[in-house]
Amino acid sequence: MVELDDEKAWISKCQQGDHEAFELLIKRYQHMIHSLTFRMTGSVAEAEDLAQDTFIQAFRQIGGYRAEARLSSWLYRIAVNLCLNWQKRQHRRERLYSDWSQQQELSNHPDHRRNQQIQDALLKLSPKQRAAIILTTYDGLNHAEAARALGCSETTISWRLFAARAKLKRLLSNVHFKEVQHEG
Amino acid sequence: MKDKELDDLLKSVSAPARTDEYWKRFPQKVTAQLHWQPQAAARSDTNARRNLKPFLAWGFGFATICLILGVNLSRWRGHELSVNMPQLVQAKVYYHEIETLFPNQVKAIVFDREGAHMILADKAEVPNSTPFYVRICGPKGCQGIITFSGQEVRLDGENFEVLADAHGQVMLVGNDRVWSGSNPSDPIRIESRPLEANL
Repeated sequence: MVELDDEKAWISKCQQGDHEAFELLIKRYQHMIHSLTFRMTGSVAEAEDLAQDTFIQAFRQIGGYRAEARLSSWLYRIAVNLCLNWQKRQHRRERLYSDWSQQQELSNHPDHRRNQQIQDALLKLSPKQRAAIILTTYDGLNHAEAARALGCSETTISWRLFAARAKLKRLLSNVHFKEVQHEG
Repeated sequence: MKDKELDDLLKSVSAPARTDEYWKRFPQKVTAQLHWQPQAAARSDTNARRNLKPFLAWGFGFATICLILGVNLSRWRGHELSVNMPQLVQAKVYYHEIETLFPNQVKAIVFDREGAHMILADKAEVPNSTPFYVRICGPKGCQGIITFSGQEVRLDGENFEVLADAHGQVMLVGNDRVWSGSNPSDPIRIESRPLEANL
């Protein structure tokens, strides 16, 4: 409750252009947004740029923020939209795979390879399906919250999740089985 | 595979860890951009407006001369590339503002259509050396960059190392190519000047 009160005060100051108050908000949400942008892009550098853009855009739009939505959901929406636009830019995908192959060369550790396979599978989803998976599975949003963050209906979220899960299960079947064998 | 198993598998991968220093610096980077970008945008708009009339007059004049003398378009393009004084003055002001906020952290400042972007080191580890203003024009338009020899910059999604010779000429060294701008067949043209050149 104290945290929420703090947040309200910070938001109010941000709405008056206070950068120091905004730094406090960034500190609270920077891990969450970096996590989201990394999972959406698969690139550490791009995740940083997009996280930075998310907060810059948030500050510029914070005058229009109303407390009906949680600040985290509002930030999610900005970040997801930026990530979806990012996907549209040309050459990104090629660069992404190039980044990965470089990373793969850096480590042959089985866990590292497994993590990359999982991230690779995520990136093979359509951006909207990926966003749905990230918001619900990683960030724990329910369908209604994810729908608000993505600006679509709950039914759409359900369909995207259904399709995304089916594809991920197919793509990760080997990873899964290896893991079971390893544990066994 | 059941949904629960899939969720567990996905959750077993965490996002890459970053240093405490990174998390400490990140909010400051964002607010520095906020402090700085509106000024950049405003200055860019003002310059655009200020330059419009002379540009039109020059354009008409140039078109007339073209008709009379048959000067080809390539000369005009060459002129457009030139690093001019207002760009240098503007770049110098930006650089000193940012360098004051982040001493020895500025690796590059990139000016493109979307505004200005800083590339900062996480720690104050960028050595003191001569900053250059580099203007690069390619198929996607032009970019201005303030940077130093030896720094790495990202252009169109690719990393390049900036190398400068004693005369201030700059070349960009990528993973599998080198651009110096001196080869007419290069897809990009590069022009550079020391930022502290006589203005």
